[in-house]
Amino acid sequence: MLRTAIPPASLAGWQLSEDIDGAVLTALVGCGAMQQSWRFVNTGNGEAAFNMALDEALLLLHEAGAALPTLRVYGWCQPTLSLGYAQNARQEVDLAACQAQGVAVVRRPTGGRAVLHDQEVTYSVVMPLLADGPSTTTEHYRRIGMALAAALQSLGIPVHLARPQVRTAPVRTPASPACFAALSRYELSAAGKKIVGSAQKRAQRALLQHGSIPLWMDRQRLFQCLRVPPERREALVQEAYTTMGAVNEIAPTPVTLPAVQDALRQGFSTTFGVELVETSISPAEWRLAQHLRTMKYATDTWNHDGAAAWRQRQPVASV
Amino acid sequence: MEFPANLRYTKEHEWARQEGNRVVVGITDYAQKELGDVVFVELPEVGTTIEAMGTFGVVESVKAVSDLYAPVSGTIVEANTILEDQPELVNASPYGQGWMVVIEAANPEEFQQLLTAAAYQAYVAQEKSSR
Repeated sequence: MLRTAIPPASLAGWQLSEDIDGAVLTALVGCGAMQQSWRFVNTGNGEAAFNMALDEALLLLHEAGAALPTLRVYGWCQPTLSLGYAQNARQEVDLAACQAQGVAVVRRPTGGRAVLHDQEVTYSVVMPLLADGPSTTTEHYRRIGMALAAALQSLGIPVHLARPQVRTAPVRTPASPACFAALSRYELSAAGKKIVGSAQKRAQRALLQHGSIPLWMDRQRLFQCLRVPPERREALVQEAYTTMGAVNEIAPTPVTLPAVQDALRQGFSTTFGVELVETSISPAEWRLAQHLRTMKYATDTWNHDGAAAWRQRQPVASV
Repeated sequence: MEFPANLRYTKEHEWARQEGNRVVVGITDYAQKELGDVVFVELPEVGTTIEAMGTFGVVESVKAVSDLYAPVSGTIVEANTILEDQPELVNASPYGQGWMVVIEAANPEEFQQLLTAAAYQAYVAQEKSSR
C-alpha cells in the first residue's frame, strides 16, 4: 500500500512510458528546478468527472516522476456534489433530487464526506511526501493547512487551524454525510465555522490533497441533495449556519474568485518556500485525465455503485 | 516501531506470514502510524484472484485514501470482515487482529522474494531519509 503503482484496472490501454512527453520531462529535469519550483495551473471551470480525473492524473504522473509538484485551482461547470471514496451514494444522496436540481454527482478518489461545489475556489495539491519532518497524513494536513491559512489571512479572514484532539474512543465515520458538518484535525475555521473542507489520496512517494473553499454557500440545496430525514432537514440547514462558513460571509470586504486563487498561490509559495510557476497541464496529463474520466469518473458504477463495485467490474490485469 | 522477525514485508508496507501454502496479509506498524486513525477498510470477496503487487483493497484514514497491494499472487480464501465494523483494529493491532486477507498462494516462490524484517526496517529508514 501507500504505493501509486498505476492502477492496472484504471489504465488498461494506457502506455505510460509512451505517453509521457519526453520534451516536457527533459525540460523539467534539465532546468534543475525539481525541488525549488512547483507548477501553478488554473484549469477554470470543468466538468465534474473531468475535474476528478485530472486530479488523479496529476498524482499518477507526479508519482511516476513525470511532473513537478502542482497547485491547481479550478471550478465547476455546474453545481456538483462530490462524494468521499467510501460513501454509499444510494443511501446518503438523493440522486433524483440532484438530477432535478441540475446538480452533478461524482465520487472522489479521496476520502471524507460529501461537498456541494458551487460558488467556490477548488484547490488541489500534488506534492511529494514531506521529507523535513514526519510524513504522516496529519502532518500533511497541517502543512497544507498552514498554506491555506496564510492565503485566507491575507484576504483579511481570521482563520484558525483546528488542533488535534486526544483520542479517547475509536474514531468512527461521522454521523452527517456532509463534509462541512465536521471539523477535522488541521482543517480551517473562521468565526467558529468550518471554512475549508479537504481530503487526501496518499501514494507511496506523493499525495493528492484537494479541497473546497466556498465563497458563498447554499445550505438549503446541500441538504436537499443529501438523504436526511425530511423532518430534520430544516433543523440541519439552520445548524449549518452555525457550523459551516463561506469566505464572503466572513470577509471584511467582498472577495473575488481570482483574489482567492492569487492568495493561494502566494500562501503555498511562502509556506513551502517554493516558486509557483504558472503553466498549463501537459498533453500527457490531459490524455491520462480523459482516459480516467471515461473509464472511471464518468461511470454510474463508480459514482453511484461505489468503488468496490467499480473495481469488481474491471478486467483482471497484472502490473 | 515493531518489525516482527517471523514476517516478510513489501516496499508498499504490507506484511505477510506464511502458513503452509497460505499467506496472511496486513499492513505494517510503520504504515498504520503514517496513516493515522483508520476509519474504513475495503477488502476483496473470498474467491477473488489477485496478482502480486496488484491492488486488493483500500484503507481510509483521516479522509485519506490509500491502496493495498498484494504481496503474492493467488486466491483470496479469507477476508477479515471484522474490520468493516472495527477498522480501528488496524491501528491497535496491525500484526494481530488487524490482519486483512489470507491468500492461497499461486506461486510459493513469491513469498521467498519478499523483504525480511531486517531488510524492511532498513528500507523504511532509507525511505525516510531520502525523501
